[in-house]
Amino acid sequence: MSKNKKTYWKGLEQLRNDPEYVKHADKEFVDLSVENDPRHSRRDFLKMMGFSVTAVSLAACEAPIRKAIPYVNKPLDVEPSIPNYYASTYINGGDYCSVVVKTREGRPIKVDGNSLSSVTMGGTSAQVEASVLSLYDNYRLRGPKIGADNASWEDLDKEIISKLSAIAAKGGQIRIVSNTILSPSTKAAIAGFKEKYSTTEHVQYDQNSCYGIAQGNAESFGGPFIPSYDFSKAKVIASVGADFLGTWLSPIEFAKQYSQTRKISEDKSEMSTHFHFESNLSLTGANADYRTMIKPSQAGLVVAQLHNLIAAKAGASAVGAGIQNVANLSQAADALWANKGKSLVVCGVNDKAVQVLVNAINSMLGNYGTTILTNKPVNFRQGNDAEMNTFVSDLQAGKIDGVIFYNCNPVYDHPSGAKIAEGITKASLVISTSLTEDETSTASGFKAPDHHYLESWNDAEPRRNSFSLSQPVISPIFKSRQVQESLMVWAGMSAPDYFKIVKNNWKNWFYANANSGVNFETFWDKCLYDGVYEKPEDAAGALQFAGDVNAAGSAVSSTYKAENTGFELAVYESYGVGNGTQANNPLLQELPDPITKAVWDHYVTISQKDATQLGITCDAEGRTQLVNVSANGHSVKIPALIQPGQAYGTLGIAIGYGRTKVGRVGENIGANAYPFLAMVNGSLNGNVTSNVSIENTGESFQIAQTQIHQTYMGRGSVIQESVLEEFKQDPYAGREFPKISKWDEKVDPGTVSLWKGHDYNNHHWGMAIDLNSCNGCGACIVACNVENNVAIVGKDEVIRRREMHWLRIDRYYSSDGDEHDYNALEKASENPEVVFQPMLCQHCNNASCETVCPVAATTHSTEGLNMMAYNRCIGTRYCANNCPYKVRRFNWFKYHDNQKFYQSNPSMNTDLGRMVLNPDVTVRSRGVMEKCSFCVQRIQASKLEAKKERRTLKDGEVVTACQASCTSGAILFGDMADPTSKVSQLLKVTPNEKRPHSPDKNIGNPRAYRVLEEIGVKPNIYYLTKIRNKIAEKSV
Amino acid sequence: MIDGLYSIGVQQGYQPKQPIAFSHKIHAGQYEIDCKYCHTGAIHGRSANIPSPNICMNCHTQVRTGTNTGEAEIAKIYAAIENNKPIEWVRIHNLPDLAYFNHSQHVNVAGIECQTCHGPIEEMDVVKQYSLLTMGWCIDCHRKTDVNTKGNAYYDKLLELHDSKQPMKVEDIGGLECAKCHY
Repeated sequence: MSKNKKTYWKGLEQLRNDPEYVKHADKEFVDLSVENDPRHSRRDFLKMMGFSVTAVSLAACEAPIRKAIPYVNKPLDVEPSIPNYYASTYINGGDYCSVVVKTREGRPIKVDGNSLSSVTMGGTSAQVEASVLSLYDNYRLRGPKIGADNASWEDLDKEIISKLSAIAAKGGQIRIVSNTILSPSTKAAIAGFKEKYSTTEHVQYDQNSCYGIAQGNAESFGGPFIPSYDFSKAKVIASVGADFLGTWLSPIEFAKQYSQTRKISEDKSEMSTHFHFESNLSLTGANADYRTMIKPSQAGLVVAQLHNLIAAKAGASAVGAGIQNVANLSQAADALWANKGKSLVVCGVNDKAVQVLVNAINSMLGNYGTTILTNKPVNFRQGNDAEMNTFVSDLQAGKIDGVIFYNCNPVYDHPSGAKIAEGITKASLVISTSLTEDETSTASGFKAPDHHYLESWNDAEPRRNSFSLSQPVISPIFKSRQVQESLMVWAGMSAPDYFKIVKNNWKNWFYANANSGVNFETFWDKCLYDGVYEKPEDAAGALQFAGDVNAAGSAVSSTYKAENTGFELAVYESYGVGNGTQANNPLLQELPDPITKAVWDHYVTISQKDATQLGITCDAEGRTQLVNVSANGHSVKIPALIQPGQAYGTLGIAIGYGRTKVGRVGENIGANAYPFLAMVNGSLNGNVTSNVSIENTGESFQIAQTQIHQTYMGRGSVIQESVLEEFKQDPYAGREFPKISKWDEKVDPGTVSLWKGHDYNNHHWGMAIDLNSCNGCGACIVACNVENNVAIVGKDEVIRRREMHWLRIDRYYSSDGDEHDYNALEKASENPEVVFQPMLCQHCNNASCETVCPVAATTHSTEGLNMMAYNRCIGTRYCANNCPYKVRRFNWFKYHDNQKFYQSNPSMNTDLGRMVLNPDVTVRSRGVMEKCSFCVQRIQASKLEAKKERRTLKDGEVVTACQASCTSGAILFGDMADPTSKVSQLLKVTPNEKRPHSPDKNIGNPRAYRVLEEIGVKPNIYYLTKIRNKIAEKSV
Repeated sequence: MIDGLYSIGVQQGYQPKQPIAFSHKIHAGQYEIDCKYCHTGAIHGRSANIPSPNICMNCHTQVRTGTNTGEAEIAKIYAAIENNKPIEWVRIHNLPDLAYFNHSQHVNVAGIECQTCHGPIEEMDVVKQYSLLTMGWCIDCHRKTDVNTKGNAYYDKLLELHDSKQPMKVEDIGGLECAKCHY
């Protein structure tokens, strides 16, 4: 082969070896002449490319065409953008609240209390506040179903009627099972059904049964009833296990009354004394002046002992039961006796023997007619445990052919749930009227969903002679039907109209006897407008206590034990999720429990001492272990939570969890605790005193908690508290006056400032929060969430401290630690005193967040508000870092239209859920800071109303959502520049002479303090000191 | 180029075709019907409201033939009512969700003429967006405009404390503050 070596040229230039070629030969890229053009740099090129690409894409995606669609025929009373308010009634089983519903363009968006009601008096609870979101629950049944298939109402009715007729023809038994029914018109509808099908019986049961109380009263007074209680007239309150502020009987009403006895000032320095005896630390126990830990097995004996102590004073005979060495018990007896007729003993133990003794005590104390009103019995708990048990055994025995589960879910929330699920397979007709496909309706052949209460006409009689109306505030969203109409259809009525029936009932029952002097339509309109109607009260009855105390005493002594060595279980109703009916409501799942501050989780509470013995550890991040708890043949595996204030040897487990069919939000959280309940002395009781075992599995689990620091570490400038005796001598008792040092002297923190302050020419919004009234319930948190479109973030994000709540309630336990031993101070006492402190943006006059914002997204207004412009915020989070109160919340994610938050935050992620959003408040996006705005949308709306009417703004026109929801009246918002406003009067605001419109107003109320006064940020929120009515020494 | 960037999202001059060739020139100009007769919300609330067909029918039960379009356009109102199908107007004035604007504050309280922001509407056959509707445009007006305090007791205290040599502008009583429009 030739050794021919070819040479390749890139081009002729190389071949020729042009000088131009040689110059660039070693460079990979040939310089472009444009690079050397001084007018265009490379950066310019990128800029131009960037801009033209942006411009082209922006031009390409022109603003979308948005439609504006008016009504075809605008309803007269709906004005777009202007809210309407309707009085209605929240009914959930036996839970009742008279409410006012705010609607926008026909959508309910907020529920507030109705102050015209003599029962709930304008109060609400977290569950009432959250109920508006349950209306838009995506898991609601879209319409009737036969088996698993969608059906039409006609087909459903036809099948049901034929089955009912068949049952009637052979004389088979029919049962209507429900929770407590408050509505007299519903009862009339049920009676009508019974007329048609004479073998029908109506069985009522309650998840949180008070049957023992009614039976105790039957034995004491000759007939079962539950009286009204008036805590506002009680100077001494003793409660044995009755969580009357949280879950017992009528908590909204009781919280309202109780708060009236807890408000004090220099002029009125009297308040009630509250003794509490319980196993779990309840909301009520946390508010008590004296709290004593007892075991459930001792509860009956504590009542018996109290009876004997009072009997000794009254000269009556003692009963043969009792218990020695219960702390504070003889003190309670002394205080009760000293306030005869102005005291009240209540007991949450659902045992008629114990209740007879309670009645005997109250009778000896002369409380009937003053704090206990037998002429006004209440209907909140009409459940009959005995009848329900008979129903279960009949069902199991196959004696019942037809069952209608009227808006109830006993498969889940009755201890015999499993038996019921098994028994209904033997019945030929099973109907469930639940709104959602729950445990019971899944097991039922026919699903005939009822309307939500906000879509329904109904009435209620919560208390004898006090009535209230429900009216629909939205037309039915789905093809549901009022259950009363369903019953009437099945009873053979054609096209019944429940509205007309309710109206007609009211005409016959009330109008006919009212002598109101107006025609019926006017009378009806007034009732509908007010939401409530009161008949004249019955004369105060002269019921004489006629119970057999000795028999009760011996029953108590055989049931209860003073010394029980084994573990005991106290099943309680959780404050947020309650009995579990609203378990699919994320507002309630993410509402921190008032005591444990846990969210989205179910747990067993255990004392520190017992936990140590079992080797259970809880760290500051909520990391704990799963334990197996068994009792009454039922076993659950849930995490343990170490709870200060938990009685030794006792465990607390909440009902309301462990739902298996409820919807994506609440399904499979925790375990069902209902099967733990058992019959004691003829009624269902949540206290299990024998054969309770707990075993540490060692498996780790993390509970999401919103507060992990238990004590305030002796920081007197955060919580300032004292006792009544000291307060009487010095209204400044408990106050701390921090000073800051100048070079020559120590001065008040407010007197030295870098800033010249603000002039508030018109309004100066401020808030006073009375720590003595606040019972920590958390209704304000839910109200704030709903009003301000606050995102619900879910368990994982809460664990990462990313909950979005604008308002939190800090719960602090007292500590036995030495004030200089910080490690010891971190540990809560075994039976701690508890303080609740609502914490929200303090709207500081010298706000430390404002000075660090690099883009001036948070600024101060001429009305004293600390404003937050979301669209300006770039998310540096400097402000949150600089906020001494840690109330600023950062949007780590886009919580709306984000599949990741579909489960936890349906109100921003489903078309149905979005209907609940407040259209006057922006839904925030990712990467911006947010915080309490003092409900600025409400301030602006009220100001505008005043301007439109050409008048000044009146005090009380602007009410923040938290204030409106606060049953206790602990939160007071108003204009501090208006000397006549309630907040000015309460705080005794006087202008500072140096600067007439200065933020440095003089506050004359000796109880008023600002949190962290020493740092000089000058908040516009003042707290009033916590005063306990107890002797200064710590009780044991 | 900067100016160009600022104009992104600004739809001044936006004049879309509407489902009904409704002429403001005829109704507001020629017949001098008060704006608030149809736009009922302007004095009451946040939105001025596009009238629902039942308002149209107050006159159009009688008036069946239009000046420009004959019967065709008016027939669309009847059709909407007969079929119970709302008319889908194209929204011209779009403020971003993050800005709160209330008509009644401006129309009722301040007594501003509709034309101040919406332009000579009585001359428009087809309505277009007359103003910029940018925040700068809002602020500019809040800086220049005197507060209409006449006969309105709400402003008494503010007036009393205001330096009386200068007229009280919206800006002077907090009209430029973020939380007046953004919340």
